[in-house]
Amino acid sequence: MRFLIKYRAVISLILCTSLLAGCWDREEINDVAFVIGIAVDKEGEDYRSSLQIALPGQSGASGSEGGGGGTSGDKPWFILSNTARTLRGTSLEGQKSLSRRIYYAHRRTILIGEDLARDGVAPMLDLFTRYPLNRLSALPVVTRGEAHKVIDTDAPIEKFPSEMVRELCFLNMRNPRSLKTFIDSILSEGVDPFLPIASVSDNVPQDWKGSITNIKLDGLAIFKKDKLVGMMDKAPADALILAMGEANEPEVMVKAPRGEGDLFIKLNENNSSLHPKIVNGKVSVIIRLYAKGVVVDNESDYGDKREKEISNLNEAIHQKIKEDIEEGVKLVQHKFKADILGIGRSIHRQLPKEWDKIKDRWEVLYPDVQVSVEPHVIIENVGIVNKPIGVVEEDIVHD
Amino acid sequence: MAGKSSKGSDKSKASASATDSSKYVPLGLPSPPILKQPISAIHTNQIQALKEIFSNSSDVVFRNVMITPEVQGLLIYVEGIVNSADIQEHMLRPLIRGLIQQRTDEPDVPIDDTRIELTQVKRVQTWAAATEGVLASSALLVMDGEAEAWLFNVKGGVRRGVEEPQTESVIRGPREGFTETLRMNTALLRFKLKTPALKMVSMTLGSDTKTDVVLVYLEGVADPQLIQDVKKRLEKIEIDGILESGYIEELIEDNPNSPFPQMHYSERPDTVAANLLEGRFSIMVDGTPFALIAPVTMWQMLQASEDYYERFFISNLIRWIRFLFVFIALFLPALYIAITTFHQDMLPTTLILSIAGAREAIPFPALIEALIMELSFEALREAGVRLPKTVGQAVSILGALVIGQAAVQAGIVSAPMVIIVSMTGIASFTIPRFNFAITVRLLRFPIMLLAGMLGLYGIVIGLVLISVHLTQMTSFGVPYLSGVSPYHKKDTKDILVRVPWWKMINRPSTVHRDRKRMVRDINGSPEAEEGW
Repeated sequence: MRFLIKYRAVISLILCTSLLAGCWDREEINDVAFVIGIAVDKEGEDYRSSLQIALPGQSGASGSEGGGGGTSGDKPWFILSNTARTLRGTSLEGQKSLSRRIYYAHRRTILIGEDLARDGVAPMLDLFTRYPLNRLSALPVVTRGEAHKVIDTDAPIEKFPSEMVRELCFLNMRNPRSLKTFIDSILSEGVDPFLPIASVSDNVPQDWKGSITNIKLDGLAIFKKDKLVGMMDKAPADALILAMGEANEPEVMVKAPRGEGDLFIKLNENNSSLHPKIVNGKVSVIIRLYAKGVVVDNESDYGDKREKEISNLNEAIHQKIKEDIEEGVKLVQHKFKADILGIGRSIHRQLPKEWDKIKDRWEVLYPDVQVSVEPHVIIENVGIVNKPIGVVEEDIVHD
Repeated sequence: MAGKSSKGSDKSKASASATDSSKYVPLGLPSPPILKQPISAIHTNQIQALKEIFSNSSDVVFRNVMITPEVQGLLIYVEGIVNSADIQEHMLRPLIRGLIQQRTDEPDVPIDDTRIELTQVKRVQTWAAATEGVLASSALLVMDGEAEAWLFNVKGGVRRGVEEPQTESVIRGPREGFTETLRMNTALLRFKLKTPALKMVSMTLGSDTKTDVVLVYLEGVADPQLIQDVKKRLEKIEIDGILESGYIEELIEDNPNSPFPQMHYSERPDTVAANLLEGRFSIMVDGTPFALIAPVTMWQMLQASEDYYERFFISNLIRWIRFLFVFIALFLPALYIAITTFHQDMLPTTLILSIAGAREAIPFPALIEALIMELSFEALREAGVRLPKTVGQAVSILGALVIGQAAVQAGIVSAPMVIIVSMTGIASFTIPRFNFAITVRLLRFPIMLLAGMLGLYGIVIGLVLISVHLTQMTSFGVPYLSGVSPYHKKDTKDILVRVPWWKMINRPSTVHRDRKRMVRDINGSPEAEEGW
């Protein structure tokens, strides 16, 4: 007590400061609107942003039924779409018609419309990174056509369509391109950025009963600096992702070495490395791919038990991977002239002196770089069935 | 003005009292003037005096005995606190038999106390001493013609036997606990430490209760200066009564204004013995099973006796769980408040959305919600302790149903908050020392308020304030965080981890004098030479 009396002036001052501070920045959780995803499009000169905002009252969490509003069957989100001269302007415009503060910290997916991507994404990126509430781990994705159509699909398996896009990205690549890696590859020399492409699909053919819209990831959007230069289809895109060592348990279809039909081999573990070489000013690069494979499906009549057969399969998968990757690389080299594999960067890192000599001419040199693929796949396992199970022993083709 | 002048007079008073003892008023209730007189040799006077002293005392027994045919005697004792069998067997019977013998054989043998077959006999000359003896479970014998009274120690009476301690139950470890009888408690301790170095300094505190208090320590292990200091502090106590060791704890601790306990108490003889072996002292008080132990560090508050009985893997796991849960008990509600009202960006999206969903219909801000729940939990706990066991169960069911179920369904409290509060409640019960656990529960409220005002920033302020307080605090001169701050490398063996017994070569360096506690490392590992 004596302590309190002795320092009463100090103590009352301290107590007063707590009153002054009040509840600084306090914001109850039911006063914020969580933006889960955003779709950005260009409409003429204007930006259109479509915010996917979570409705927590409808998310089915326990206790929410007390809220009165939660009619079942409603979507747990709604879209708030606005146009303005600038992207920030659309957000301010949106706030005018929203009673809770728009809160971007949980925006984990950024869908970029095709037209906007072709015009360049640089002005938009600043808004997405400057304010610390933004997540640099958000995943930017380019859409075929307009982005707001993708964010407004039914996609019933996840709570939010933008969440679905995000999950798809994680299935597609081991380390999906985030805002951070995307911006990094825009700014680094010797590598060109790329993003996955999302598009609207149907769960069943459209004329069937109960058809709803869904989302799929198909292909890669290739960028030069911040501008989209082309879109690549699913098949070569997958080969390129494998070449980057980013593929998430890919399955490679191999034609049976003899006999009829195909086999599927899943590459459980895979990683790749680039080995550039410069001889007499001529640049060549070797892509080395190491992988462990499992036979997941044998739809052919080719036996897969004997040692010889396994080594033939191995040979076949090497051939297949080599062809696929070389085809994909050819496409980016000649059609898009974009170095998404980062061959230039590998030279920069491994042969820095040579890079200094060629970096100014890299744009010109790149299409002519000799790329060869060296796959090293070991088939470790053929599953619990070691021959085509539906085929009689006499009909199986053995080596 | 007034404050200043009173301060001045305070000082003069303090200096005066040191020199002038006339102002000193001893404590104690008013007593009949007869107490100051010596015992009279005339039997009728003796009876009159005793009747006066013990007027209106129905529990005092007066028994006339004939010592010799000529000499009348009077035996007085307090029923219930003496052993009646002792009086019957060893006092009355020899007196009567002696009387018969004397009549027949040897009429000239002088009367003396050898005829009474009891070990402790005291002769007193004043009524004051005689009264004190009677009240302290002795039988008093006064005789005609004797200006002296005899006090025979016949201590007895029914008191609780040795039972399993209620507050510190263990899975593995001794099941005996202290009782309300001081001598039984010291005996329990003597069973454990069979060394003459175990010293038990006795003193009597409380002017009316005359409570026996024993200061226990191991000579040669405990710091003699510390023991001197404690003795001094105990002697300074002047109070009308000591009914529990808690009185002493509050009267002699270093920082009476701190919420943190600076002594711990135990009703386990093994805990007291272990602490004596580590150079601490213990204060045992008659009438309570709780012995005080000091000096303590904060780390000890998070250790249970079982930590040392189970194998060290298990002990360490449990110890870490405790550390984790102390943090939960102190900070979890505050963190919940801070994150849901200031830092919604810090939680994973799906988690924040389900919290947001649950909070959608809640009418209160998170801080108010948390305060309501925490206060009702504390009330529930308190009600559970006070109520008889049968009713206590009803209260806990009511609490669980009303607060857990109905409040959530009515949309008054959110389900995550109920989870947070229950987690916090469970966490606070993992702290083995009740007095420390209650401190943690107490400090939770200011931290919650800080979190509600300033978010994580407020929590950090709270943490800093608590840390500053803890680092400057001492318990009988030993820093409260000793081992970590100030850092003693060799003491870390029993703070965050409990090293196996074969590594505990030395006693903790904070309180000991004689460091070695084990001759050598039985597993012969080289580190042992450095003395971990």
